[in-house]
Amino acid sequence: MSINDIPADLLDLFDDYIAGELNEDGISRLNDLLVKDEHARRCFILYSRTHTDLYAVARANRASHAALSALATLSSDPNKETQPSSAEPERSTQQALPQPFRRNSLRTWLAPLATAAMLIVGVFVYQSQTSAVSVQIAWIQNAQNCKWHLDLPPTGDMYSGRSLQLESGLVEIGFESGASIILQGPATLELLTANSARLRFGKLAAKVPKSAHGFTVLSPEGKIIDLGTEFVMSVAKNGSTEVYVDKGEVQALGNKSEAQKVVHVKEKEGILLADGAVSRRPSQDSSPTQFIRQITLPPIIAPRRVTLDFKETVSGSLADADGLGTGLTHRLPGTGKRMLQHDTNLKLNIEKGQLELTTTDSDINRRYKLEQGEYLGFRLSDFGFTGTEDFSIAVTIPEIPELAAVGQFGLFAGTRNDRSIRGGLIRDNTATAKNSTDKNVTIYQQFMANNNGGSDSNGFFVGLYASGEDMQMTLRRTAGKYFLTVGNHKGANTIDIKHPEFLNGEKDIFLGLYGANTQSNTPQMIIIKKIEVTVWEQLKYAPLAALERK
Amino acid sequence: MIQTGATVLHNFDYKLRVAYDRWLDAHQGCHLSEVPEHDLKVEYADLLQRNQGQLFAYLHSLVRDLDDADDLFQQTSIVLWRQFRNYDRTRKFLPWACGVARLEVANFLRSRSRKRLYFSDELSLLLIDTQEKIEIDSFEDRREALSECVEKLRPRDRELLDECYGNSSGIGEAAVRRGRIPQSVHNSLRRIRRSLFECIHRTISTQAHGRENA
Repeated sequence: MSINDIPADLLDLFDDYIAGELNEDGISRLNDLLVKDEHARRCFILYSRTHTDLYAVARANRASHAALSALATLSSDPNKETQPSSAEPERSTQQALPQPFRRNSLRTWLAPLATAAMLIVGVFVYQSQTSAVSVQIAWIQNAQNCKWHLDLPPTGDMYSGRSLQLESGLVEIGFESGASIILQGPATLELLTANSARLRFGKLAAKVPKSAHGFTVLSPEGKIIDLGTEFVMSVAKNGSTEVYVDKGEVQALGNKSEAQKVVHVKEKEGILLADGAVSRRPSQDSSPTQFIRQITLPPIIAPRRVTLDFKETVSGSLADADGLGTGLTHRLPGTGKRMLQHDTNLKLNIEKGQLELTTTDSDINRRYKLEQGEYLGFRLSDFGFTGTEDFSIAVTIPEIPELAAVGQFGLFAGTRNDRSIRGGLIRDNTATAKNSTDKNVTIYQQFMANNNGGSDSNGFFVGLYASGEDMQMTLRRTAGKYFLTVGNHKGANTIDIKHPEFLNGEKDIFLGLYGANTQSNTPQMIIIKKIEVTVWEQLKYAPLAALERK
Repeated sequence: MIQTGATVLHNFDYKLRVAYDRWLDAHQGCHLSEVPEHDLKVEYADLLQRNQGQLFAYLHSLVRDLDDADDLFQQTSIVLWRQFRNYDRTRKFLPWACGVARLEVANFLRSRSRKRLYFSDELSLLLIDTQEKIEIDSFEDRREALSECVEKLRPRDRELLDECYGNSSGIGEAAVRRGRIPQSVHNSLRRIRRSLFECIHRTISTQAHGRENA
C-alpha cells in the first residue's frame, strides 16, 4: 500500500491520533470513519503498525550503539588478547576445538558484542520494569564448524522464543528437561519451553532420557511427542516433515489431524507429515544415514615443545669449545664427523643469552666437505615423533652476517646428509647494494631446496635481505607439507617447493639449523638468540586426559 | 553488522520473550511429566510466539502508549493461558487472542476516566476482523523493509527518530534540544513516518517484482 492510497484527511487523523493530539471530537470522527470503511481500517492497521515497529527499530538501535560502546571498552583491555606464537602453524589454532570460537577469528570479536547487545537490549527495553530475570531453557553443549546467521551465535541467551539460525555445522543443544538434540546446519530451530522446540527447517537428531518424557518438537506440519527415545527428523523448505525412530517410540500428530488421531511410531518406523496429516512410511531396515547423531571431535593436537634461549648449559647435549652443553642434541647424520667433541665452532654465550656458530666451508648440495659441516639440531623421535606428526623449528638471528658467495645459513629437516629439505638465506653473488648509511651490504635471497641423493633439486629463490638486519626463520611441516618463513621487521615471506616425497613416512627425522661459508675461506659468526622446536602430537583422548599425561 | 534489520527486530522480540518467560516462571507448578498439561503449554507457547507481534501491535494501536501496551500484553498473555483449555481449536488463535486483549483493554480503560479518548468496542472488534484479512507474512516483510528504510534516512532524520522513539520523554526533550516547539517535532515525525511508509511500499514492490522475474 502506497502512502497515496490513504486519503489525505484520514492520514492527518492517523498522525494526530498517534501523536495523542485528537480531542474527543477528533477521536469520534476517526472512529466513525474507520467503522464505516474497511479500506480505511486496513490503512489504519498498516500505518499504526509502522508506528509500532518504529519503536522496535529505534530502541534496538540504541541498544546496539550501547553495545558497540561496550565493545570499545572490552577491546581496549590488552590482557584479553592472546596472540599465538609466530612459530606456531595456523593449523594448531584451528584444531583447538571444541571451544566454540577460534582465536584471532572475527567471531571472537562478535561473541562479546552479541552478548553485550543482548544484555543491553534486555536492560534497555526493560529499564522501566521490575527485575525481569529471564531463565535459560537450553544450553549449547558442543559445536563443530558452526556458522550462524549474521555471525551471531547464541551466547547465554537461549530463552524461550529464541530462534537459532544455523547456516552450517553441527551444534548439540541440551534442554533443561534433559533432552538433547544435534542440530545439523542449515537449520532454523526455535526454543519454546524447557522441553520443547520448533524445527522450522533442517535436520535434527534427538536423544530423550526418561526425565524428559514428553519432549516435543513442532514442525510446520505437525508435532512429534517423544516417549523416551532416540529419533531423527527433517523439515523441508515446504514444511513437509520426515521422522524416523531409532529407538523406543514417539507420537506424531498432524496440524489438521484431530487430537485423538495420534499416530504411534515405533522403533525402525518412519512417518511423513505433509498437508497437516501423518502418513506411514514403508518400514526401513536401516536407519537413514543422512542424519548426524553424534558430534565427533576432531583429533586433539598437543604441542611438545623445547625452547632454547642459551641462558644456561644443558647437560648431555652437544658441547661448545669450552665443553658447555648447548642444548642442541644431534647432528644431521653424515655431517660434522671431523668435529671435536668440544666443537670449536660453537660458543655458548650465557651472559648474552646466545649461541655463536662459526661457519665452515661445506654444502649439502653435492655433499661438499660435509664432514666439517655444521648441521646441528634435534632428533624428532625424542619429542614423540612417530612419522606422521607435524613439526616446526623457529630461530631468531640478529644481524645477518656478511658471508661471501655462495655462503648460506638456514634450517633443515631430513634423515641424513643426502635426504633432506632445507631453506634459509643464500648469498646472492650478483646483487650489490648500499644501506641507508651508504655502506656496502651483502645481499641474500630466501631459498628452499630438496636434496634426495646428494644433489639439490626443486630449488626456489625469492626476495632480498641485506646483511645487518635482524630476522626470524621458521621451517615447518603443516598437514605433511613443508613451508619456510623468513621475516624481519618489515614483514615475513613464506615459500614452499615441491613436496619431498622421499621424506614421507620417515620416522627418524632430524631437524636443525646450519651455517656454511660455502666455496670460500672466510668463516663468519652467526648469532642465534633463540631456537624453538615443536612437534604436534595427535592425542587419542579428550583434552583432560592430555593434561593428565602431562 | 549488528544493526541489520533482522538482528534489530530479533532483539526487540526479546521483550516479548521476557514477558513470556515471566509467565512461564509464574506457572512452574505445571509438571512437565504430566504430558497433557505440558502438551498444552507447548501449544500455547508456540501460538503466542507466532502471533505476539500482531497481538502487541493491536494493543498498541488501541492504547497508543507503549508502556500501557507492554502491561496489557503481559496481562493478556496470562489471561489467555488461563483460558487456553477452553480455546476453541477450530478458530484461529489471533482473533481469539485479540478478542481477549480487547476485553483487557476495556477493563483498563474503565479504570481511566478519559474513556472517550479511545476507540469504541465496535471498532476494536472490526479492527480484529480486518487485521485477520491481512497476511501475517506481509507484516513480517514490512518490518524487514522498515529497518532498511530507516537506514536510508538522512542522518538528522534518523537521529530525530532515534530520540523520539527511543525513549518515552523523547519528543519533549528533542524539541528543547533543538529549540523548537513540540508541535514542530511532531510535524517532522509525521513527514518522516510518511516517507518511511512509502519506502516500505517501494521496497516490497521491488522485492515482489524481483521474485517474479527470478
